[in-house]
Amino acid sequence: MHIPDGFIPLHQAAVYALAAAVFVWRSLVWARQQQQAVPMLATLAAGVFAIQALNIPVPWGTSGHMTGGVLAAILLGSPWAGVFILTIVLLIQAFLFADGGITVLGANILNMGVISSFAGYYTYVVLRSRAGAVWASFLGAWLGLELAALATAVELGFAGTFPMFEGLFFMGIYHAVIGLVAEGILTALVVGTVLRVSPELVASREVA
Amino acid sequence: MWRAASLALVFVVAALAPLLASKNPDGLESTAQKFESAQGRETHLLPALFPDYTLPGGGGTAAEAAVMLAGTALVFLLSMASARLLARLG
Repeated sequence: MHIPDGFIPLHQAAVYALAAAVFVWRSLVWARQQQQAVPMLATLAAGVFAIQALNIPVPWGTSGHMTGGVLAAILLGSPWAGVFILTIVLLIQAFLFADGGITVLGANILNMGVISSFAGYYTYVVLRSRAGAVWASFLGAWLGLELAALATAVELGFAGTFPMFEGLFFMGIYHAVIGLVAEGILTALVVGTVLRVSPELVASREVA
Repeated sequence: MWRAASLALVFVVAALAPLLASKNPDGLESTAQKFESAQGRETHLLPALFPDYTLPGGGGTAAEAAVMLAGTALVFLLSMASARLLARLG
């Protein structure tokens, strides 16, 4: 879901960059209070980078990968964790690997870092007492990815790269399936494993 | 202990990713292929050191795995350093 350079005109990309900068700044404020979580935060960032390279085949000859913001947010107890980690990962991907554009970095951070992490994390928070942590993390991760994909389609619709409604349709359909397989199942698997191995880790984190 | 195991697993995933990852276009690329308005738009502002996670000049799956391991290590170290620095400031 990494938007490349050229897909969004510079003046629109600047608006997304400004909006993303506000969230990135706030995530830095969050990171200042995380002395105890630094090793886990760094491990999660490395994990998000690695798992994003593992594209899983889905129907219609397409593929998709986990974005990881919701998982980071759940395990570290705050959506700002997802914003912070995805910002670092997307910066390195854009500058070293040409995976996602440099001029559209703000849009990519907004979609995969902000929208996905916030929507997914608060879905998890709302559902976890009713559905249990594993199902709540599955649904949160799926919804986070789907909303990020729809936001991407809207941005590319405004940019004139995709026709708005067809773009929303195809991005929505593809990522609804990618979200089930790549984001939902993997997030639930990791959250379920952590809850079995070290339940205090998730439970001890305050809802931010 | 589990932290070391988690980190080891992350590096195993990074090393295996070039071997296991699907080569099919992702959801955004698949959507872009459907619309003429998206064709030929992609540009690169700066040349990347390792475009598409490969070494310049190729090198096969082993080289891709090495690039992935280096990238994963870089993300780990950069996250650790920036989070430590920010925590010290806090």
